[in-house]
Amino acid sequence: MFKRSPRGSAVLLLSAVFITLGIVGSSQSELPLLYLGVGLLIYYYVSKMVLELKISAVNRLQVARDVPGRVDEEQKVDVAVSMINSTFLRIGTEVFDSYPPFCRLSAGTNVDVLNIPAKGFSRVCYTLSTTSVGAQEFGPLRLLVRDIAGLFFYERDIDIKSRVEVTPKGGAIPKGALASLAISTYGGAVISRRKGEGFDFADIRKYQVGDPYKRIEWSSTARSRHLMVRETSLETQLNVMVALDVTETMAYGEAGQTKLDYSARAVASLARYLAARGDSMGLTLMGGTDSSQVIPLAHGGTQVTRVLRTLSGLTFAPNDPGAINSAVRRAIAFGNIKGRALFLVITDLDSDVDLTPLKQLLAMKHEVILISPYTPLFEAHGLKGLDRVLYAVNTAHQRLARRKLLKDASKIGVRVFDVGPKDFFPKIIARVEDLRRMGGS
Amino acid sequence: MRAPFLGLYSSRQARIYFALSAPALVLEVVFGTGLVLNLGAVVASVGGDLALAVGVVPWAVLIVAVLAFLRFRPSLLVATLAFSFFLSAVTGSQTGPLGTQSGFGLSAGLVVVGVFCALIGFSYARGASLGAGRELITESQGPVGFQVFGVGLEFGIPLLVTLGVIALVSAIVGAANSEVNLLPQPLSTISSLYLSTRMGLASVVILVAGLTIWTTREFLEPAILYYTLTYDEAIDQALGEVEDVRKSIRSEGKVRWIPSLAVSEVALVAIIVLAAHYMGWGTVLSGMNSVLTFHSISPTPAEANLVGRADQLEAQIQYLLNTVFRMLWG
Repeated sequence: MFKRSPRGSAVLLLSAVFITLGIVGSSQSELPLLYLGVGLLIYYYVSKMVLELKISAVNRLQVARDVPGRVDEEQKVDVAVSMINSTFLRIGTEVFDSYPPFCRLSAGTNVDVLNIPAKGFSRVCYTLSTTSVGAQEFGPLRLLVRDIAGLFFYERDIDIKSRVEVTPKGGAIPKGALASLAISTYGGAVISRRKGEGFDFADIRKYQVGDPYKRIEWSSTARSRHLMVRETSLETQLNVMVALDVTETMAYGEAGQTKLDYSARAVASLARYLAARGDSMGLTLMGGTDSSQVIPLAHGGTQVTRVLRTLSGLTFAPNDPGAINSAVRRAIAFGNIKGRALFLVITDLDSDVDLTPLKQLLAMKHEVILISPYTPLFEAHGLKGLDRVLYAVNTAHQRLARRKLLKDASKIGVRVFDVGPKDFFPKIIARVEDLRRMGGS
Repeated sequence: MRAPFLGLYSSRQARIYFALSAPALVLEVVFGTGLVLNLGAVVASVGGDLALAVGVVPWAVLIVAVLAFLRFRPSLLVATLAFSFFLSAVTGSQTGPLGTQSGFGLSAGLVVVGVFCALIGFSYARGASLGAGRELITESQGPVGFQVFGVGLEFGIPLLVTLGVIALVSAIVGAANSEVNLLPQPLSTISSLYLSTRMGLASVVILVAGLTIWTTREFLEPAILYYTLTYDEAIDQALGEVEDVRKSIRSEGKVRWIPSLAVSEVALVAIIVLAAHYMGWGTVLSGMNSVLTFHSISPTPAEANLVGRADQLEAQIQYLLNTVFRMLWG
């Protein structure tokens, strides 16, 4: 956009003053004022034309932004914006690089006045720290060019597609409390109450036909003079399909402290936790009718990488009442679910959503648990003044929708667990281990 | 740890800006103090509140100029300088810079130099304010020869073209003066008399300058754009300008009427109060009687005639100004 600046207006004013004084003046000494005024006016127009030349040079500028594709949470993002000027005109420009809104400037600056040499290049470097997980989109690069006296300016937005994906921390949950709690409580053997093949001792009983000889407990046999065998607890592998709500109410709040941030961290931690125990895990994103993404059930380190990669590419979608329906259908169709599975549905229940599809999962003998990040626990801290009032109004409205959904959930027999930032991961692990004790999948 | 605003004012770019803008501020101070003295003498004869109000003007302008200097606003500094220069001229001060009696020529030349220094300093001011308190990690490389050429081109072209056009205008005016005798009588005498008046000379200068600018806009500028602007870039620029107009219309329709209405109301009340203060409420009320009581005014033939002539004169002046502005600004 090409415009006259306030300095251009000031020069026109000065020119008008000189011309007026030159016209109305009576003495010969005032005649040069007329020429000076006209000279300023001509300078004004020539400056405009010189700037037009510079604009053509700006339009030929080759611009690139160098950004790492994926970083871990709390890792710094180094950004370098390079501009190559192949013309013979020097380009003095203001550079405004729009970095993602959920990132903070850590070193350097994204705004600068640069002189890009003729037949040369310039580079602006800065470092960002990330606050939120998921995909972070960069905005356009804005260049503002002026003539030498700043009488005119030209603004141009250059759209450079760049994004950095921030992978949530798995294993280490913020504040340290969740990880330590989960490991201390649930670390150890992967067993259930059912007896079967395994290593952990459960009981001793009399030998029955068909029992393997290696199970014979010789010391008990000698004491009781009957053939006794050792029983072990059954080792169970779980199938856990996580359905994560990525609609906009989940992403509302302070950057890095939203329900979606904590959910992503919890899911990442869960993926590592289950992989370490040989369980299968899948992930379905509930992000509207067309964008439900499914990672089929699988186990091992590769699956953890897949889950983390998906979580690092999270982008929130508009609220959609049919989000759960779509996610359930796609999870069943593409989730590679064989046998019984635990469906962990993580949603805040803040917007109107149809829970009926969960009934279908129960009918298919799957275990369904609804983990609901309770909004006030995530958003109230850190807010002050008007923000706190607006937040209270918003939450009061959402509470009505939530109450209705809780009723719906109890009607169809789905258990709902409210979680906050501090007990998010332990509560998920508790549900997983409960299922394991009941015999798993 | 140094306060951020100190970082802003003590950076290298800020120091360059202050150095470049200082001449304009010094000139403003010179004109301001001259105005205080001149206006003091002029308004002393008037006396009363009006004298006090007028006496405050130069100080107010001076304060605005200092603030503009400190707040990195060279446009405001230039505007105040133009205003002070104009006031100095119309109040009859022939005092040149620093108290000399050199007239307006040198003063105006110094004003232009000061203004351009301040304007060039603006880009440094922007650099200082944008990068205030932050570590800059930038790198630039390019052939030194091209760099010198580029800077020279940017500085030199506008200056050389301006000087060239002024010389051309001056030559044409000189030629017109000398060649006017070639015209047949009485055209030669009339033209000679016309060119000897200030108005005639000014008209010729403005006409020639206007023609030069018109030629530039009509022929040179399209030629530059033809060779430098691609079709897509032109479309982008045009769309950008249309978008700007759309936004301005939208804001005009929705928001701007409220402050302009408020300003109008305040101005009306202020005018009435001032008029009542100087003329008395009785005079003001009797003057407004016809408006307030809905009585139609029946002017005398002489008054009607005067109003008609005033309307005609206004229309002619408007037409003349429109023509001049269209010629100069396009």
